[in-house]
This record gives sequence, structure tokens and C-alpha cells, in this order.
Amino acid sequence: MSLTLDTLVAIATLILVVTGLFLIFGLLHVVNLAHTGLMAVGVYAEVSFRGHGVSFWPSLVLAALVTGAVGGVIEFVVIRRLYARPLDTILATWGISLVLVQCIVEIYGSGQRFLDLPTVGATTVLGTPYSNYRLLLIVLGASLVAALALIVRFTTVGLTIRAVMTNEPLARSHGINTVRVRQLTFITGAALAGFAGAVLGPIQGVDPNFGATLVATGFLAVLLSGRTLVGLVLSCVVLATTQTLFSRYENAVWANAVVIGLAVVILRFRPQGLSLRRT
Amino acid sequence: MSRARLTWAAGGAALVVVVLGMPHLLGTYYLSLLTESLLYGIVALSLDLVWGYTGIPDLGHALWFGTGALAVGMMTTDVDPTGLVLGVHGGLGRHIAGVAIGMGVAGAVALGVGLLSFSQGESDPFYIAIVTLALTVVAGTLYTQETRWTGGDNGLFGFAYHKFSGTTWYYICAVLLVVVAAGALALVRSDFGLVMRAIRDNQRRVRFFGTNVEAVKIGVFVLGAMLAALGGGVYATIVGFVSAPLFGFLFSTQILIWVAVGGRGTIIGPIIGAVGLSFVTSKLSESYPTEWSLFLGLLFVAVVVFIPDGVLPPAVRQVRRLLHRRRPPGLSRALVPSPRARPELRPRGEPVTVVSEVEFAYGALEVLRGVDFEMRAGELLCIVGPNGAGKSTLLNVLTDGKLPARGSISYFFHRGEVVRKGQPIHRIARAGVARKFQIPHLFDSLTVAETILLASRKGRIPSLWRRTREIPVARSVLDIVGATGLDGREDTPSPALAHGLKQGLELAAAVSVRPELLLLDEPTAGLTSNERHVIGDVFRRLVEAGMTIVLIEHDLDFVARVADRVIVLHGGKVVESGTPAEVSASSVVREAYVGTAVT
Repeated sequence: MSLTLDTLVAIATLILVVTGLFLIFGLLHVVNLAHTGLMAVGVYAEVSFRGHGVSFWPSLVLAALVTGAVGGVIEFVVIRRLYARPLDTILATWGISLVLVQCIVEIYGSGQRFLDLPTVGATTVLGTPYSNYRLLLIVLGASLVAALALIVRFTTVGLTIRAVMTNEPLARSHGINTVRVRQLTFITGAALAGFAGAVLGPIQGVDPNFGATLVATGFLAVLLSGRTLVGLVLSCVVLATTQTLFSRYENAVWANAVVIGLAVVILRFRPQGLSLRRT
Repeated sequence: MSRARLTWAAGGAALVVVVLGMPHLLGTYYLSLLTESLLYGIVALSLDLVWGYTGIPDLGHALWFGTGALAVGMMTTDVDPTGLVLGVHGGLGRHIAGVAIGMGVAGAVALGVGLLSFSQGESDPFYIAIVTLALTVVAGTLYTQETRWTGGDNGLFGFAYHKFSGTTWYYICAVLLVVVAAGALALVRSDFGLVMRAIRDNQRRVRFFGTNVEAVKIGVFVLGAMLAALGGGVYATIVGFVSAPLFGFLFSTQILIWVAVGGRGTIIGPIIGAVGLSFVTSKLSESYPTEWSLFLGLLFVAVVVFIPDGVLPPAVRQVRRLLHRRRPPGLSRALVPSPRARPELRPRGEPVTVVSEVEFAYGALEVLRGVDFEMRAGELLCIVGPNGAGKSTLLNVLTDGKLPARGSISYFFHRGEVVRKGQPIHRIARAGVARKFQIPHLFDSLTVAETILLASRKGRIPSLWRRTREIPVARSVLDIVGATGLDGREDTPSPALAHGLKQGLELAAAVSVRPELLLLDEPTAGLTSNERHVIGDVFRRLVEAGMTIVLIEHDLDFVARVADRVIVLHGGKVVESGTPAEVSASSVVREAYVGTAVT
């Protein structure tokens, strides 16, 4: 049972990490390598807010807002100028990540920090006691996916998003302000990164390179998703399950390498990734 | 001696004096810093070959440097299982073997990564970026775990080769850098360099010239990895230390910064960037480690966003302006009539291509619904039909065997039969199919003559060092060049051409492949009526010589003048076929072109 729960936690963690990345990749066709840095911004924002006595839930929201604002600045200054040069976006976002991390080192120092868990204790699930906070992660991951699916399927915002995703020039000619859509997408993606950072902070141990290993898998999950939500969930399940099983039965460090190798091999033979959409 | 040569000689002599004099100017400490930065220069130029010239964004280039360094470390140290260095072997032989092994391992790993990552489909530039990034992150974590091999967190140390003085190492590294740089410059200026740049500019188009894009990319990627490993191996031999950060993404990023700031695609720029920035970095990062990293990051972003060419190219332009010099003419190339005989072709009238029951759909949109026709040798076949009839899609299906189309297409060429299904674009192109696109797809950094040179290689890998000045082409190519006004513009970069000239260049490039089957999508759009007339004559001559041409054309007068046979594509099917006169009399064509609905 605990293996099943561990796997679910790993899947939920990966989903939390990649949702913002997926949104930006899907709409902007940009793999946002600054995601690592943005997650670090989120977790350090949480460190500050909690340090000033703000309780857990409000500080999550505030961390997401702060990161969203940082994302807004990045979009305005850099990303907006690079939409026609996808290769350069990779480099620019990579550079931004470095800048964000160095800013954090400058302000907070490079040492490790720890965040208190908001809920201690365990709940017994089918006979296995399991940490409350980790159970909370599973719930959060599941509700994030559910919310995203519902928004995309049933709301006007979702309709706009789908229109821009499928055919941007056509969407523009139908009166959709695609510049604004891109801007809001990037801000939302950044806010989600900050949220993920803040949520994962208490169990991951906080340092400025926070998330670097998590995100390497995340990038591959996004490429594997084939730009569909179902594909995203499927690839998170496949990668996270592989990682958990391999860590459990073999070696935790090599698990990272195995997951990356697996993703590369899948993409070699299924370039469309794990999307179920017919091509 | 010309003035330019004199300037070069003077510049070269000054450089030699500076390089030779450095040991007398600098103290031991600074000299060793400089020696290291020369090795970084090798790493930066290896990334420039991969990223700057071939357009492969390798975000984990440090991995190759680290591999070279680790190989030397492992060859020269004894380590216990916890990673403690127990003893060191001193001989130079082991160091040299370590460097060689490191280069071999790096090359082999790069080959594996390349084979898996560069796929035949429309490969995403993000893909290789993320794979290399992920690899470098994983390598960093694995390094600290596999202590038996790597020394873990402490790394391997104390294995430097001590018998050479700092000055000797400096000279060795300077010679190494000069040799590698000279080789790299020869490579990028050679005919092969044209292929690298063409892939960077427009890889899809290169495939249609018959070039195996993946093979070239993998080759350059492996070369880049091996050169970086060479730098890493020599580095480890000198400093006697290897640890996880040499593999890590921070070092990878530094290499990227050197190349971006120096000026990608220039070889010299990245070397200057690496030597200069790493020299300054090692100085400033002692006193201001965080601030300096922050500044480097900002510099990188600013360069990528605002001066993507890097610092060197604009600087060189400014200096030239100050000296009142115009841009120097690069290598001047000329097109000359080929002495080669005509390619052997199938006897006139025999089928060259048989298309049967071809169906193709984009998702739910069925574009081709059972297309049947034949093309015969020495025939000029026109495909007409209203917009959206599937004409261009038909050409896509004909030239790309990877597209999931039903039905069968077989080519019967002089050298044998080729079945389309499953064949990648470049194989079909090599078999003898050339294509001109409706909208010109050219290469931003190639001149007219260079584009034709690339096409006339027909996908064979050109020389790695030779620079062809006189490009042998068929008479018909010279005719097209003359007719479209391209003569005298052989050295003009293709983005500087007017639209009509671009069309002419597309056409000339397609013909210079010397295909058996030439597919032309609206070749006369954008040309004047006089030019059309001349081009029409060229087509007739090619066909008389036995080539088979398929023409997509809207101008029915032009069709009537040049075509042997016309087929009408409508609603995804061939609805009419016959001589131009027969077809233009048919009711279907009239209705389709006048716009009344076909019932």
C-alpha cells in the first residue's frame, strides 16, 4: 500500500511541477527553462511570508502571486521579443533561470533552509499510516488536473485557449487579442510554478537550486504530452511510476537517469508522445 | 602582395608576438589562468560548431568536457570504494591514454544521444536542448554517487602531470588551440560548412536536395563532443583535479555564455569570449562570486535578446566602417557549364511514376481520395485544379514516404524501382526526385551560387576542407539563371533577392539536382511574361532531353503552350486527363475555374 501511495505522491508532485510548464508550452510553443528559477522564487517567497508569521494557505497564494508578477515582468521584458525565434527562447529562459537563482543567493544566501509542515501526523489509509501532507499533495495534484480539464472544456477562457492552441493566426483574425492571451498565459504559468514550489518546499528541503532535478523530468514529461492534457497526465504517470519503482527496487540516483532514458526512447519511436490524438 | 594579405600577415605576426610574449608579461598565477582559458577556448569553439553553425542547442556541453577530464582522472588514480584517492600514477602515457579514452567515450555517448534524438520527422529544436540539459543534470547527481569511479563529492585530485612547467603547458595549449581553431575554420568555410549552415537555416529544405540531415547533425554533434572532451582531458592533466561541477549545468551555461557573447557562428568570437570572460571570471568571482554570476546571467539574456549575433560581428562591422572599408567579398564563386554527360534516363514513353489509389487526410479532412495517374519518361505533365484541390498535398505525399498515405506510389528510375512507402525525404530525393516549392524556401546565410552548389551535390557529403569556386552545372541551369536575371548575382545572399529572383533560384536549384523527375509547384508565379516564355522553353528542352516534369500551374495559356498532357485534380480525385486542348474544352475544368459548383 505504501508503494502505491508513494507512486501517487510522485505522480502528483510531477503534475504540480509540470502544469505551468505545460500551459506555456501548449500555448506559446516555448519550453520555459526559467521554470526552475520560478519555482525557487515561489518557495523563497513562502519562506519570507511564513517567516513574517503568515500561515500556510495564505502564504501559498501570496507566493503564487509574487511569482506570477515576476513572470509578468519576464514576459514583458524578454519573452515577448522572442516569439519569432524559438531557439533563442530556450537560451533566454535558461539565462533568466540563472539570474533568478543568483538573485535568490544574493538575498537569502545559498544555505539550505527548512519549512515547517502545516500538518503533522498521519492518517491510516487502508491499513497503512501515511503522512497527512503527502496525502494532501495527491489531492492537490488531482484537483489541479480536474480544474484545468474543466476550465479548458467548459469555459470561455478554455475556448479561447483551445482556439489559440490550434490555430493562432485564425484566432487573431477572430478578434482574440493573442498578445494578451500570451501574456496572461505566461503569468499564469509562472504563478503555477511558484505555487508548485511553495507546495513542495516543506517536503523537498529548500535551496536556491531547488527543483532543478524535478524540472529535468518535467521538461521531458511536457514534450511527451504531445500538447494534450490527457497526454500530460499519462506521461506523468509513466515517468513518475518508473521513477518510484526503480528507486524502490534498485537505486534512487540512477532512477533519474532511467526516467530520462525512457522518455528519450519513447520520443524516438513515438515523436507525437503519449497523446492519444490521432495524427 | 595585396593590401589585404599584408594586413592579414601583420595581424598574424602581431598575434604570434603577443602569444609568445605572454609568459614574460604574466606571473605564474596569471599564466596558469590564461592556459586554462585557452582550453575553454577549445570547448567554446566546439560548441560553436554544434550550436552556432549547425543549429543544435546543446545545453549540456559541459558533459563532454567533464567526460574527458574524468577519463584522465580515472586512468591516473587509485580510488577506494568510498572515493578516497589512494595513489596516483605519474606517467605521461596514462594521461595521454586518458585523453584518448575520454574523447572516445564522449564520442560514443554523443553518438548514442544523437541517434536517439535526431529523428527523421520534423524534429523539434527543444528536444535536443532538453535531452542534453537533462543529461547534464543527471551526470552531476550520478557523479556524487558513484564514488568508486569518481571520488564522489571530493572528486579525484592530485594526478596532475608535473614534469612540464607552467610556461610549457601554456605553449602546448596555445598550439593546441591554434591547430583546432584552424581545423574548425577550414571546416566551416569548406563545402561541408555550407551544408551545416543550410541545416541551421532550413533543415527541411536541405532534405529535398537529398542530404541526410540526421547523419550530418550526428556527425557534427559527435565531433563537438570529442573536441570538448579533448579540452577537458588536457585541462585535467594540467590541474590534476576533476569533480562534479565540471559536468554540471552551471558550467554548461558558462560555455553557452562564452559562445553567445563572443558571437555564434564565427569560431573566433567564441574563442575570444571564452578566453576573455573566463579570465575575468576567475578574477572577479574570487571577490564577488554572486554578483558576477548574476551579471553574467543578465549579460547572457541581454545578448540573446538584443544582439543575437554576439559582440564580435557588430564590432567588426564598426571597425570596417571606421576604416572606410566595405564588407569584403567572401569567396567569389562562379557557375560553369558541366563537362559531364547528361544523366542516364529511362527511354521516352516508359512509366516513371505510377500513382494508384492514393488517399491522404489531415485529421478528419480528406484531401486526396483515391488519386490514380502515371507519369511517363520525357513527358511534361501539368496538374491543374482549383485551390484546395490537393495539388500541393499530392506533391508532399510524392516526396515524403513518411507521410501516412494509403495506396501506392512507385518510381521506376534508371537505377531501379523505388517504392515510396516509408522512405524518408532525402532517399526519395536521391533516387531522382527534385522539387520546387510554391513559396521560395531558401537559406538565410547562403548565396545564390552556394545554394546551387548545395543542390548540385545531390545529397553526397561534400569535401570537409575544399572550397569549390567553379560549380559545374547543366546547361539548363545556366539558362534559368540567365533567364531570371540571376547572372551576375552569384555571390548575393539569398535573402537579399527580390521575389522573382528567389523563384528563379528555387527553380535553378531544383534543376541542378539533375533529377529524373522534377516536381514544380507554380514555378512561374512572380515572373514577367517574358521570363515565363524563356522558362517555358527551358522546360521543353529538359523534356526533349528525356527528363520528366510535373508542373502545377494556374495559367492555362502557359499550360497549353508547354504541356504534353494535363490532368485535372478536383475534390481529391483526378477528374479529367488528356491533351491541353481536350482538357480545356471539358466542362469540369470550366466549371471549376469559373467557380460554379460541380454537382
